[in-house]
Amino acid sequence: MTEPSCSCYAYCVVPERHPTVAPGTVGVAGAGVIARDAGGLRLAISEVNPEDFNEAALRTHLEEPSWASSLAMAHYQVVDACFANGAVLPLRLCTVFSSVERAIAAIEDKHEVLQRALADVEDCAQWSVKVNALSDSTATTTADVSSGTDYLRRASERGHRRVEALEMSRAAAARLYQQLDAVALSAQQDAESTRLPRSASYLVRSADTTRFLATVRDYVEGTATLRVDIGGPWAPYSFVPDLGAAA
Amino acid sequence: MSEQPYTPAHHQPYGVGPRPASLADVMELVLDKGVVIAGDIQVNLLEIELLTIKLRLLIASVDKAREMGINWWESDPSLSSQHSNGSKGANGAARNDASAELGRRVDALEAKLDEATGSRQR
Repeated sequence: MTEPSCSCYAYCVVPERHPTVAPGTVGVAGAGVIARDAGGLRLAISEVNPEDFNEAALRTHLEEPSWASSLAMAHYQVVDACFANGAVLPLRLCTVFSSVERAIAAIEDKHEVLQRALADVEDCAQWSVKVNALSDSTATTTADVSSGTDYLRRASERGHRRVEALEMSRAAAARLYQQLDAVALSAQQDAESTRLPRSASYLVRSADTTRFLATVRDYVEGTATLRVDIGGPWAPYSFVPDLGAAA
Repeated sequence: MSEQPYTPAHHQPYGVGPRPASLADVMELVLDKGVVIAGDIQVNLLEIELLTIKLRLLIASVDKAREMGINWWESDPSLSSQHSNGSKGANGAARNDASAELGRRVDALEAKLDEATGSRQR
């Protein structure tokens, strides 16, 4: 069997009323991105070389940080450009069809699920919140140690303090996440563990963004033990239904 | 690029500021749901998941090292070539330094992998 000369890389699904992808938007390998109607939705796609996206090639390519990171960046930038215009359902990295027709057919096939999912993320953005304990800055000095017993006593106290501080940081992180859960529409935790660092993704309505960020800000100002990093607003990558292998 | 150049919306409305998307952020986002191959391309999905995980680890380690100020290999011409064997040592050192963070990530990723392979091998 010979491979077709072009495969179709699909980036994301947007509502039908969504403005067409801006002319000049480039995707994977610098190819121009176009939008096609599919089942009452629109699909952002570009042509890719099938030789780069067969099993053997992917196995090699995904092991190359430079190839994989440019793929990820291209994917991200197309999704982000669409996200700037409204709701978007990012598809998984490497969603590739053997032709535009098959891509459209796959979307038409799932249009009900996709439409519902789009409505769910309408007017929302994904934010990531990472929390870590600040490193222990209590100076350890041996200058005024009077005896070996004294030294050991102090060392043991330091150990206790460190454990206590870690426990406090964990509890503080748990409280922060609890508060954010209440503000966000939906949340996804990295893992169930309470270990630090922890991270979570939130789906936040644009109307609630100020409250969400203020919650984090108030928290950071009120605690000296946590380092909090926020990322966003991003397209709702983590809140898209599993489309599986759409074939 | 597009005529309206890519401008991330990641401005900083508050003190605790959203930060611009780094490569690690992007990888985390786009790989969160893993990689999927649709259409009629035959791919062993489990293997692709494993590749995805390796990729996340590699990029996370490089990014983390850079964050910690460990980037000496970037200015060393004998190490900065992407395909040179020498860079493996540099990455190894970086990985060592970020090992605590990576340990956590490996745990999380393994859990995800179990979940992913469990739900996909139907």
